Amino acid sequence: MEFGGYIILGAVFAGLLFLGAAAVLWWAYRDGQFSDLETGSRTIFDDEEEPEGEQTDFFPKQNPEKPDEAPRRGE
Amino acid sequence: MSFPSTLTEAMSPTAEPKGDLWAKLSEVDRSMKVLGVFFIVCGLLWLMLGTVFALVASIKFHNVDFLGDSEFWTWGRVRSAHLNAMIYGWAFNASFAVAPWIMARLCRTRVRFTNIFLFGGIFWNIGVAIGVYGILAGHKVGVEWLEFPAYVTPIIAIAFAFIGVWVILLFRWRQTGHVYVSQWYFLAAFFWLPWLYAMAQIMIVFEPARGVVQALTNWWFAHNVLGLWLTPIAVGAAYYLIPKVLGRPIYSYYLSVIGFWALALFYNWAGVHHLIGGPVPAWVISAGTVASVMMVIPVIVVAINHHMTVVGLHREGWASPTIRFVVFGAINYTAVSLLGSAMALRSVNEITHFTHFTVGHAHHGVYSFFTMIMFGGIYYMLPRLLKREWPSAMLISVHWWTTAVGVTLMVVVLSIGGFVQGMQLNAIDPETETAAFEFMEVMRNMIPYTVMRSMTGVLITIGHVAFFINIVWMLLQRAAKGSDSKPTLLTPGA
Repeated sequence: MEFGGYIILGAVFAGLLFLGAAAVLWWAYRDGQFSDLETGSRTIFDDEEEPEGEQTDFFPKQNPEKPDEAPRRGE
Repeated sequence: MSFPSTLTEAMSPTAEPKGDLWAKLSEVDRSMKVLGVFFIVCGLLWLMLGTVFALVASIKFHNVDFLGDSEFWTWGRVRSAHLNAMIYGWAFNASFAVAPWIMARLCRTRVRFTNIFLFGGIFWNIGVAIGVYGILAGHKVGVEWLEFPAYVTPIIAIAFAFIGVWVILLFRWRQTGHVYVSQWYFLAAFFWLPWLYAMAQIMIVFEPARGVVQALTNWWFAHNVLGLWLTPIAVGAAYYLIPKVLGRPIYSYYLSVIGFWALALFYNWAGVHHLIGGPVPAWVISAGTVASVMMVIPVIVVAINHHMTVVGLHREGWASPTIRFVVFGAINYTAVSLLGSAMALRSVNEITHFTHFTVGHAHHGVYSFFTMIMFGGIYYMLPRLLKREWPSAMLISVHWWTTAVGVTLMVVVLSIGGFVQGMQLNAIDPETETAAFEFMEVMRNMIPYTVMRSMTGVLITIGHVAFFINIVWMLLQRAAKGSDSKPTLLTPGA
């Protein structure tokens, strides 16, 4: 195949990929993924086990809040 | 609660109402234990092997005869063995450990059918082992980043298919409404890679394209492994780990969404900048250069988010091994990407191309950025999977200082050396109007830099040994006993 042939083939596949991405973006919009980003950014926290506002990683045995014990918060 | 027992039932869109599979974080961790530990151990072994290859290849730059009498250890083979062991061995295994674990936590679902993933993982590692052996035995394909012999690539592609399908199933089982930005990144990466790998294999090995199209395919693939696999995995992991460890949400979540879509749009065009000066139509190069510069947008967005989330919490962050590694990686993501955009300009590329500068840039990207974030992820992940502390804070410190200092020095040394090399290679003697330096002269002038590079390599090796000991020690420790050695981080009874 010559260069031009590859370009056409490439354009077809790139177009399909682009349409796929556009469809996903459309789904995300319709699903309301972008409507409440403030709450969305907090979905990684969990009130029970790993709440917002508390650090969850320290060097071993160096948690300043619990200097006497190895385990950290949430324990 | 009734769970469908077969895979087909589980995939049916009406099978499970939301909520049935909802799991506590500690339950998610427990269900990911076997997978996580398997991939961390595999990745660790490849990291150690890749480090040995790296040292041998580096020493050969200044002691050419080193191991020169064995064809297995000639530079052309060891160098490729290093690259492939590090990328397909270490980087992919680390990604398979960290990304699906974060994905499962964000989906809040008990993971199931883990055998699919494990099966893919086992064959992936068998494939990489055969491939690296094939390279050392002299069967390699002479295309950078695709050196695995043709007889092994189908195994790798099929293994990835199992892994990718499982991760997409995992997303399908999500129990949460909102799709967090890390999930976007991971999902995209697991979609993109099989397409990249299959295309590159077909167009280079099985049904080779002719002429420059082959070179274009080569660099489209090689740059996209970095841009559409390593980058989304590491950026997605940082988007989870930084706010999670510090307990503070991302600075601007709105920007993070724009950043993801900008990366999806621009990054896959950028690879052509590796062929600046090559016999490729000029408009193709220009398109690649424009896309490389457009990458400044998502990079700045990610930089604002990662750095502003940490601002004001530096002391807290320093107390966390995860944050040390991840923030180091995030800082270097900003640096390496902006440098990369600059290197894609024709005038800069004329000097840096074909020099140590490019090698330094590659290590800046794959090590300072990607690998450091994966180290951070593993420091956060393993205590939660195994429910025990890291055995030694000292070994973590050693690992942190040697790798952070080592790789920074390496990048600086290679960048300066590469720049000098580029200037000397391009220099013209004004009187004779021919090259001012002989090629061998330039090579000899590089020896001080390559010696320093090997020394930074030794420093990094010390760090990897510390990491290795810490992980093996942790795995061999008996499960937590008594109150003063209680497992870390997790809720009681979990």
